[in-house]
Amino acid sequence: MKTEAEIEEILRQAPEPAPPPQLAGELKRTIQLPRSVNGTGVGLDLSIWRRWLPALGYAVLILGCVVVLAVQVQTGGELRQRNEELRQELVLANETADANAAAAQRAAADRIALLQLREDAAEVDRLEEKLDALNAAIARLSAEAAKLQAQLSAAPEPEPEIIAPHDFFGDANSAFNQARTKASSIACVNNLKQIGLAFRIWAQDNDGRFPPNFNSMSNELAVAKTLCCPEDKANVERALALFHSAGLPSEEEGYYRSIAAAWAQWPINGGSYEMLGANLHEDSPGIVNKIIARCRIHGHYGLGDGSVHQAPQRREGQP
Amino acid sequence: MSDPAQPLIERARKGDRVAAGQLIDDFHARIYAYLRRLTGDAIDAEDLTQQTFAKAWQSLETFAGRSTVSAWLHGIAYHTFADWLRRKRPVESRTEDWWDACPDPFEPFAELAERDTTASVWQSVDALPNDLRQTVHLHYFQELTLQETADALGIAVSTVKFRVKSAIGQLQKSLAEPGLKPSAVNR
Repeated sequence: MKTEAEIEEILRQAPEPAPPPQLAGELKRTIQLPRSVNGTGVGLDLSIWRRWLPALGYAVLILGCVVVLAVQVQTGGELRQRNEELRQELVLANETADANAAAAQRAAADRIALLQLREDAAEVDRLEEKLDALNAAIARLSAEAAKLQAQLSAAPEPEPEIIAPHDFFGDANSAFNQARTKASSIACVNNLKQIGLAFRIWAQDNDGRFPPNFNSMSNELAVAKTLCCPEDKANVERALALFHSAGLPSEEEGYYRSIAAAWAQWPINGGSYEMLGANLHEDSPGIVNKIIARCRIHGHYGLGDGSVHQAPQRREGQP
Repeated sequence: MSDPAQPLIERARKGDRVAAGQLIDDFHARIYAYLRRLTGDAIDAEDLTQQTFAKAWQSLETFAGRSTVSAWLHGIAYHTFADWLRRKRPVESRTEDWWDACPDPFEPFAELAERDTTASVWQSVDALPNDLRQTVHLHYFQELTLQETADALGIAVSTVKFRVKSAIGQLQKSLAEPGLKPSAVNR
């Protein structure tokens, strides 16, 4: 039995087969080195490149990835920015469209209101003409009555058989009174028309809301006499007294100061008409049938749409 | 520890044919002997030696100097042999025992019994599994150090140690077994 050391010794003693003698020569003839020495020493040392080629390859790959990533990030950023711009433009366009729609709606409402105001103004003109005619009739009748009165006072003592003069004057006075009552009723309607018009004008300047009281419409009404029914003598006198002292409109600044001072003395909702449309909105439902002002004497009333309706005429002696 | 053959590699890398010739002079005999023992045929060994050096010239640029030149060349020779073995799959291409090519292989052993045992040991080496056989060839026949053997085979030194121990153990066992081939000494 051989020991390990003995076996190792045997192995180490193994002879070396000799190569054929021509082998070295053949090997030298077939030497193919990567590059041959040209003696100049000039030339690119490819070995360095070949050694670093794997690392360079990875470097180029990583660089390419970085470039692609950077381009993607930049493109993504630009797209996000463009998206944001488009979103803002869309919001702006929507706002503009809404504003245009609202403006068109307002313009249409204004046109309708303007037509209504024109109609109201024409009606006021008609009423004023009618009032003038009635005033003329009153004046004519008054003159006739005065004349008859004068004739009566100048005439001799009436004969007992003669028809009593009070019968004649009674008839004349009755006709006169009827004409005067009608004239004052028309004047009252005219006042209500003007008040309704003032409501509408005031609402145009205050987002469609009616005034809280008549005094707020001082600019639209100009003078407080419009708030006084012709039958309401006391208020008419007071308005005349206050506003006639304002002077003439030609004295611009002083005139308006005086008007303002007169309005300051005029009581809130003073006059002959009840304020029933305070703070209502001209677009609120049922406004066209809503009474906004009413004469305490005649019972005529103005509605939210600016129209005026006469109360049934009262007979003599009725409340 | 500096390898005296390293400067030759550097010069050959720069295209110095003289240095390449010097490398052939220094190593071709050992590489041929290694391949001659493995293949068992002189012509195959010569052919594989030429292939080994051709590959070595192609691989000059990649030689980093982490192993000795001897280990590097033996590694190329080992892979060349492995490729050859895989490609040709020779069942039995041996024409003779490798020591028959030596003029007086048993010269150190005076007695016949010793010569018989020696021949049995060398014969048993060829019967070892390939990994053990390669380790024995490189470490004992080619006299590479454990580190050089590990570098040539591309394995760890500890693996080389384990294989050496296993190979010696198997050789011991095979010597103890009866029925060995008739002694090659008399052939």
